[in-house]
Amino acid sequence: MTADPDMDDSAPELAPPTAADETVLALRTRAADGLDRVVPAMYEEMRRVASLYLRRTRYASAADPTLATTALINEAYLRLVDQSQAKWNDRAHFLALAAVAMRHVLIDRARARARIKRGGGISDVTFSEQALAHTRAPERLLEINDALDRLALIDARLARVVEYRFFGGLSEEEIAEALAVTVRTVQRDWQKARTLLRTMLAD
Amino acid sequence: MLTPERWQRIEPILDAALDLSSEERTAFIAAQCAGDDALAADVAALIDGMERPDPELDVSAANRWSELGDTGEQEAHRLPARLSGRYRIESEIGRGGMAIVYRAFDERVQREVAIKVLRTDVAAAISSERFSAEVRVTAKLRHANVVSLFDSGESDGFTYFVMPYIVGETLRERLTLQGAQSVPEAVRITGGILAALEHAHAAGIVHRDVKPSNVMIAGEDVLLADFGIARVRDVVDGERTETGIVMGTPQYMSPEQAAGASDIGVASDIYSVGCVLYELLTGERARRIVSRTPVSVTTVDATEQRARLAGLPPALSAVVERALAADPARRFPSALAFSAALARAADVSTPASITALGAAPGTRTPWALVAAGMLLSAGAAYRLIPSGADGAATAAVVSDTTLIELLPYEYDASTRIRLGKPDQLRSAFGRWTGIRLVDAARSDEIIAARGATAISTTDAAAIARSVGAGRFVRREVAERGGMVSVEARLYATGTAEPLASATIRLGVGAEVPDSAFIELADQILLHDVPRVLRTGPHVGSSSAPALRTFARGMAAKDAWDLAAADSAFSRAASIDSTFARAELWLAQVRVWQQRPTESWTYLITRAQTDTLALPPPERRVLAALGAAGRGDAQRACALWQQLARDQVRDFAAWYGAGLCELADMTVVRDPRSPSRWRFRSSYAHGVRSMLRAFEILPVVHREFRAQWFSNLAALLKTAPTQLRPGRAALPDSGLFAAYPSWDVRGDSILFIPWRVRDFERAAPWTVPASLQMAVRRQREVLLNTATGWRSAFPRSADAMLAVAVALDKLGDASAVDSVDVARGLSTTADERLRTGAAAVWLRVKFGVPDDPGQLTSARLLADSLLRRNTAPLRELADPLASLATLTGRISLASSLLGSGSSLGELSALTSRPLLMAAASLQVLAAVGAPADSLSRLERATASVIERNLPPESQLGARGRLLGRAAMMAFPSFRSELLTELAASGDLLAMAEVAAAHGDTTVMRAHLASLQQSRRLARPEEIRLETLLPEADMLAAIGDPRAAIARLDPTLGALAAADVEVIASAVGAGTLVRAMARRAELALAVGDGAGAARWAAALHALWSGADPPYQPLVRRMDALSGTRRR
Repeated sequence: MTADPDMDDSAPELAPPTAADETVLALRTRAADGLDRVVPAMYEEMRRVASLYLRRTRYASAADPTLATTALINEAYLRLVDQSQAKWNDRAHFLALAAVAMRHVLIDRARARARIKRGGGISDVTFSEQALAHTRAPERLLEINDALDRLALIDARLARVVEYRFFGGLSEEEIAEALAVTVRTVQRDWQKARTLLRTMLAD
Repeated sequence: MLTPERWQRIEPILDAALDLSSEERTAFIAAQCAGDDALAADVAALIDGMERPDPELDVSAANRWSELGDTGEQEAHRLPARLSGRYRIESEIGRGGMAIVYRAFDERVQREVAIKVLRTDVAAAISSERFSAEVRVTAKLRHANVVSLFDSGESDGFTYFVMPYIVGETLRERLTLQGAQSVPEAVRITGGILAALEHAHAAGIVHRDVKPSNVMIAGEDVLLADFGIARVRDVVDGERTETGIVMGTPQYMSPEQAAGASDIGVASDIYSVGCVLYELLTGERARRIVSRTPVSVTTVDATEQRARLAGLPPALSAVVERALAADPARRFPSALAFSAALARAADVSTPASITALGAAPGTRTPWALVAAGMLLSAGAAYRLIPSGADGAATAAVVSDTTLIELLPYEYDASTRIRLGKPDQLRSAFGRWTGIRLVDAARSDEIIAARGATAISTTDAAAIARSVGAGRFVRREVAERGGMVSVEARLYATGTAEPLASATIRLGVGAEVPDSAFIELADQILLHDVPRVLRTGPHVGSSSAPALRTFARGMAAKDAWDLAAADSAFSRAASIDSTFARAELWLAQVRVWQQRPTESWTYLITRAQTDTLALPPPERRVLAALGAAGRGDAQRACALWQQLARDQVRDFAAWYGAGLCELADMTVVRDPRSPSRWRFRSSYAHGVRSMLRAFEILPVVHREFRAQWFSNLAALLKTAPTQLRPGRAALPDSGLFAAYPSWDVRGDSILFIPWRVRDFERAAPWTVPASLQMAVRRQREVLLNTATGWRSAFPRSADAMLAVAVALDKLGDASAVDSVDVARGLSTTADERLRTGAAAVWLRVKFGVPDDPGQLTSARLLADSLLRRNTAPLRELADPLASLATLTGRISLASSLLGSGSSLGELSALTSRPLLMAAASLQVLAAVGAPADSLSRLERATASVIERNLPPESQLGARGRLLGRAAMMAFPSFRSELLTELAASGDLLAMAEVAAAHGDTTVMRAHLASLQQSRRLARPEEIRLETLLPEADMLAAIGDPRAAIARLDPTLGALAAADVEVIASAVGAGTLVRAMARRAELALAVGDGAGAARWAAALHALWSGADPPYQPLVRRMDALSGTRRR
């Protein structure tokens, strides 16, 4: 939506400057996982973006489900952060925050869905049907989430890589930027994290 | 268990080892670990799996769990009570993909409004400043056919639009309810839409989303809604065109819009209106063909379209075809041109006269006559007569049943008295609207012209025909023994057959009261309306046709034919738009049909404007429905209960009382409850009211049939997994749930609500100790109800079948005897099939594996049912296919499924070849057919999918149709699809791929996760469909005991399982395959007796199986022989 000729230049799209300043400041001074405590309004916004992203993924064409992967988050970034003040790696931190938000949104939804499946709703879904579709079942996502929490106790950075990649859909380059490490390290970390996670899931 | 400390030792060694070649690694690790063998083993194990892709984790969560993206429910609860401190939200009246619409009250202007609130996720993606600029332009539109935009704004993070609250229906509702509209009505509605567009196009605004749900019909007004809001879609979608399809209704989109063209213009709206007109005339949506070229070109299926339009005048279908031209340049250049062409084609000289039809009730154009005639229940024949060389046509009313020729009194020879002027009978007819009498002077003129001879019925019909009257009335006066009798007869002009007659007797010389003639007129005019509905102060309508239609509705309601009642009431309310009683009962019938709230609340609002027109008890029904419509369940319940107390035989009151208590989710604080919370309404009380209602009107049982019974089973909470949901009442918040428990003192079902988070972490206190007892007692209530139903209808097969189902739920094998009684009571083919199929299923459930006698009888019964139902109705295809599968008639099962619909939502999309191929594949995979036939079918199905389905549905169809089969048929058939399925993260497929690669450890790990995922399920709830391939994998690696352990709990719990488990062909197929497998497994562990037991059971069912399965049958025969020996 950046190149729409109808756009009125005199009406700024960005959030009020004070909020944007605060965002930039927060991005530079705090770790991404602390952001939700630092800028609640922004975190709320990220959750909304995450919801929208999920919605689109839900309906994205089968041909290319990844088309919208970071486009939306980019949109939100451009809207929330005053570009004249932004530095090169603010975007990566922003993406990292989005991944955290996405994880929370997904897990909240999965919990709600799992509850409905257990019979909270009007229509009963039988367990046998769940068993058939269980790898997409919300319970499985919750299991992965729990395993990720356990991984974080063992190695916080590996857990963060999983969070960014698995929950946030960030590319290796973006993760490298956010964590200030090389792409090679991210690749290696991902392999290690994945292996550890797998053993934890099998436990 | 990995600890941080241990990981800190492992990681550096791992990192360094990874930098080495694989040959160097072993030595390096050994050196680094220096004798710590456990450490070395850990490192080696980790390295081993590191480079292998992980289908589950490599795909991002948002993609795999994308269905979690469906949202909307929770938003409604976050909406503040007032938007911008001005609009008080009252109730939800509709929701779509982009927004939720609420009824609200504008406190500043003191009026009702409709507010459309954008979903927050949609609003999040648009810039409000830019958006409001769009809105400002469209807000300027002011036109009689445009739903204007009063205001828009943002409040508490919600973006909203304020529009007038229009009492009426959407065109979508009308089409769903009534289907195709008459030509004049279709022309009138389309004319209204085009008038709105003409105005908008002149202002430079393209609507972009013309569709029936955006067209409001309020009485005679046609209004187009959602200008400007449609633009939001483009703003949100930006460059991504495919989401446009997703977020909107693609059916009404022009090809260029669907293809994502950026310059959507007037022609696109014209196309959409063409789609709407097509649907108005044919009752069907214009069907599209999506070609599979890179640029998806979408056009309406021209052949089908022509076929459907064939019944219409050619000029009219030509208009539709031009509007729907694929090439925008070939469509009408403007809305005005479209509207003019339509008017010409449908014989309305100018668009203005289309509106005049409804706008000025006094004017009677020929079309108005037609329209009025159409409204009468009898309907009116009309035709288009081309007249003159200019191509203009006039509509001629051949037979207007609303026009009545009232012939003069005829006196028999002995009668001396004459009935004078004024003509009291004529005045009595004149009280009614919706009918007209031929002018007396004109009538006299025609009769005088015939000469002074007596008028026969044939003559009377000719006179009526000459003035265009569809009905005529003859009246005769006779004098006998000091009394005068006046007889009036109503005839149909076309057939000259009498429709009704009535007589009054008067004393000679007495003043004849008007009331006598009123009774006479009403008795013939409203001969089909019960007296109680046409007399007294609360008749409610002065329109004769409206009242007759209403009476039909009341009769249908009392017979519990709700669809007929709905249609009659809705018709009555549209004939007479002030008919509050019809609106009230229409609303009530819609509540009973469980239609969405917004489909009846507007009726209540309308009826409330004229409460005094209703009889007093109905005023109370109105009040109760009004409270329910406002969401005030507490008040609604109180009103229903009051009404039930006062009118103890009133079905509506008891049913309403029961329904509102059962539906009330409200949870309130209660210090005496173990959880400190309780449900506000009593479930036990609700159930009692409901059952009482059914005692009053047992016909409801009969009309609901099996459907009602399964509803009741759910309502009573007869399954241990059925939770009652709850929500805290303000000012508290939060969601609650409760399993049923049993209140011993009150001897009734009880629910103690706990916070949902307690359920999430499976807190032990959420499962009441008396859960199983509660379920059992509720099943007993179900049985009692079924027994009561049976006493009321001792000859009803359905009632007896209900008894059998209830017994089965209680695990009582005497269900088999009851179902046999039900079979004996069956009179229709449908009943015989339903009871017969249930008899087969129950025999299989209770007979496997130890009662081959039952199973043989099941097979014989299934055979006879299959012989008798060779060409079943679609909805019977599934049960029959199950019977065929249970008895080994696999090819019959696949052809039955191919002709019926067993593929749910896909059946709408799919062609018959796809249904055939997919159904065969499912059944063959379930029973474990030979690999070569499966592989052939899989290829065939895949190619049919590719050829027949639009690209966006292909992936889903492959997963559902091919994937399920591929997983079921493993390992005898190794589909190439398994790899694809494993990559998508399906655990069973992952295990199967590992098994195929001989990777036993990984396979076992995946099987363990599968087992873990089912830990909450009871054995009878697990489907054999997944267990069977799991057992096969375990057997294949030489672990038959583990395989037996997988199957036995579920196979052993068959008697406790729901009948549904075997009522489908796939379920039936997996059961028989599991039996064969179980026999072989018994043999493998040296359990000859067990093998014989299972083989004998299968042999009893399958002895008449199709030839390809005869080797299996013979094998089973041999195995069971060991038993006999």
